[in-house]
Amino acid sequence: MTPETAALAYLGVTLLDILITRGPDAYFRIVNAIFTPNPTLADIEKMIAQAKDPDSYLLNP
Amino acid sequence: MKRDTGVLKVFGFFALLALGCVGILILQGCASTGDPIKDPILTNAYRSLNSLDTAYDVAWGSFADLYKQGLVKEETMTAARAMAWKYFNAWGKASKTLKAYASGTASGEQLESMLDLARAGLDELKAYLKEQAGDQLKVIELKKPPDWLA
Repeated sequence: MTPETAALAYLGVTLLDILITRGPDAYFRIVNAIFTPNPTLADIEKMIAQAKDPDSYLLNP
Repeated sequence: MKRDTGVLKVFGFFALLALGCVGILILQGCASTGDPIKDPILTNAYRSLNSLDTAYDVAWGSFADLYKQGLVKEETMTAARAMAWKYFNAWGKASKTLKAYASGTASGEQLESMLDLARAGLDELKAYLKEQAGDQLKVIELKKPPDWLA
């Protein structure tokens, strides 16, 4: 297991932090990723499509 | 009476949270029964990339919020933005390498080296953002995994 996975797989404060700070979408996305046993090409493509570039965070809502 | 309602709300929130986790576990378990191919390198890399993206989302999203509130200087933002793009491009390359690995056109070593670059990029970005924003920045810190998940 990699450190990053370990960090987020810890079902305690970290995941709750994500839920509070980034909302349910980010929370369910990471929980889903942690428990995906065999990702498919479609899963990988979905992950790439969901990633937001740095500039998109600077746009006003 | 008012206090009891508050306790009930908190309890209800955690109960829903737990229910959501259990539901996902059950759904994932059902979904995985139809797919016999297991590759730990692929699975770990996929989880790592998702985790890196979430950690970036928390840190960069938090810093962007501070910037929008006028709490970050323009020159600081310029430097931070360059680091964020450096990380994001490294993450993108690692994701494409994962896709290539899944298709059989990239090796596990190539994938691991791309992941290392993305990790290094995020570490550099987080360190700079922390240095600039201090306690105002929200970040995810690494923790030891629970034994049942290792």
